[in-house]
Amino acid sequence: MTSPHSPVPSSRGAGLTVHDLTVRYGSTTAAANVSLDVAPAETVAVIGPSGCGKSSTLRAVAGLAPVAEGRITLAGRDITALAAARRNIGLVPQNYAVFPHMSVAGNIGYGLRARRTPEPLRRERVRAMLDLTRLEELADRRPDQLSGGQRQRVALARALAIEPDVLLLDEPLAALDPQLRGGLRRELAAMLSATECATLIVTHDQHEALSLGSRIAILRDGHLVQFDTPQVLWNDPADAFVADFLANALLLDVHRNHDHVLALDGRWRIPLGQLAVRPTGHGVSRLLLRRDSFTVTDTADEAALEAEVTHSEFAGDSVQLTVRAAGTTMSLRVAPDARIGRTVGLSVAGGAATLLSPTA
Amino acid sequence: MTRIVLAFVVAPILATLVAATSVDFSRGPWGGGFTLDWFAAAWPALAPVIGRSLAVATLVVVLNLCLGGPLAWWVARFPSPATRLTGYLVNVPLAVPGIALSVALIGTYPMLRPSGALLVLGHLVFTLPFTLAALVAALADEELRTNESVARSLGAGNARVLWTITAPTCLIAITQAVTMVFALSFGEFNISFFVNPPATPMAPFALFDAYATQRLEPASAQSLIFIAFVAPVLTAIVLTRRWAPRRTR
Repeated sequence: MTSPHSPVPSSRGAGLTVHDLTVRYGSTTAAANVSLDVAPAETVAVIGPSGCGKSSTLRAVAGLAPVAEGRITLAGRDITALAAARRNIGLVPQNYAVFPHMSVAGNIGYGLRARRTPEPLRRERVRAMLDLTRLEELADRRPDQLSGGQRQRVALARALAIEPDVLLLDEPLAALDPQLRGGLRRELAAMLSATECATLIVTHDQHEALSLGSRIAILRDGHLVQFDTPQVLWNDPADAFVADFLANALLLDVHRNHDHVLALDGRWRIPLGQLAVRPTGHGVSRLLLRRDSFTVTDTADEAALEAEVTHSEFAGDSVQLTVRAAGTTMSLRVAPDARIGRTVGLSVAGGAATLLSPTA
Repeated sequence: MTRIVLAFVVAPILATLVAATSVDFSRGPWGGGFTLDWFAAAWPALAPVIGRSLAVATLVVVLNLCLGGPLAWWVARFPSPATRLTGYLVNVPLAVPGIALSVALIGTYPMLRPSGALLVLGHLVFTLPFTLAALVAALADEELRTNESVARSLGAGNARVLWTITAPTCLIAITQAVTMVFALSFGEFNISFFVNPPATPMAPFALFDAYATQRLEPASAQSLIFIAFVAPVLTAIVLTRRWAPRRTR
């Protein structure tokens, strides 16, 4: 791993290494100087908002997007200029791309036929993949007779059948109904853990990234912002974007005094005793506030920060508030029976906010 | 819709059938009795003409696939001002009257006329827009392109991708192009009339000649023989649609 934001060393010879990758389409730079690595049997999630360059990164690894600069190595081979057909990767695109004119077994065996694998071996491998993905009963079905989850399993089995050096999954759950995603995410995790294959997952869903990735690379505007374990990203985000995108949290720069911290240009004074303190690898003191980090009052209080309520949304067991204070927008959660006026007083709930301090 | 098809397609064909099987249609339907003699009388003279038209239509289909296929691929996969201009230019012959197109072809390539090559070229120019219309949309489809990418990532070379992914997925479009081109070439009158040497007429001209110089009954029999050769082509479209794989998205 070569990101300046990550403490994990780079160069894992047997897996996938992407070094300073830049992808351009004409004059548009889709990804710039992206570096990451995936070890064998490891799953790395690449996450970011639409247009951040995550799919371009994946397509470049697959050999389907032009590499303008940088280098990609896979299992010790430099594959930067290698044709897609010769990279030995398993690709599962967002729509699964299950070949509509072939049966389930035909789809799974496609890559093996393309590689001229002897038929007995091919049959055995297809059977093993049908078994792994629990598709034995559906082997002769056509794709239009399958559910979305079953098609996903076909695409996964087809990709794994060729025993790829790396498995590439592009938004693997995005095409499914939201109600099905939780169960299928667990299924997918179980199937991936049953293989020894390095896996790179591209997603815009933080739950997928956090639950499937043993490490997460987060991209914004084509640049890698942070690449580390989910725990590190969750607890010590590199910047406010990472905190917001991955954890719906707010990250404020603070000035630390001996018994309190000052946030929002000194307008919010928070006693140090109310904060959990953790070390940070990012050099400056910052306050990490999650939606449950606040105590909200509707009365004027000298210790509280006055905030204007800009939006209120009932969410069943809570009310999601969007408030604005000192030019900063914050999201927080309050009890459904809380009395909320046009302005509220914000305090930090004891121990529910974290001071990330380089000197902790 | 069904009523319109019945009124304007099926009813005229049935009327022609009645005329072709009547001994003397001037005395009304089946006047003088029912007969198949007109078919037997028409076939010997019509057979070589039909054979010639079939050969030309088949050659035009093959040339359309050989030329129109790569052209459609280029237009669909590499959009640019050049491909857009090509798309416009290919459609120009549709807006030009057949006589004008024929005269332009004869004036430009007179040396190709005696061999019949100019006739094939004329039919090719006239039918190519239909091939492009069918194939460009199919080849530009995003789902097909993703499927091709996945096939390549699995180790398939370009030829295998073309044969096992692209062609089966585009089966309906290819069938539409083939059948449309075949039917258009087989039934084309203007270019065939002006470009083709009179000694070797094509089927549509033979029909015109029959209606102009013979009784209604033998001319109707020739019309039905002509239709009998086009009907299987149209049936192929229906069957292909039924057998073609359904999209999964």
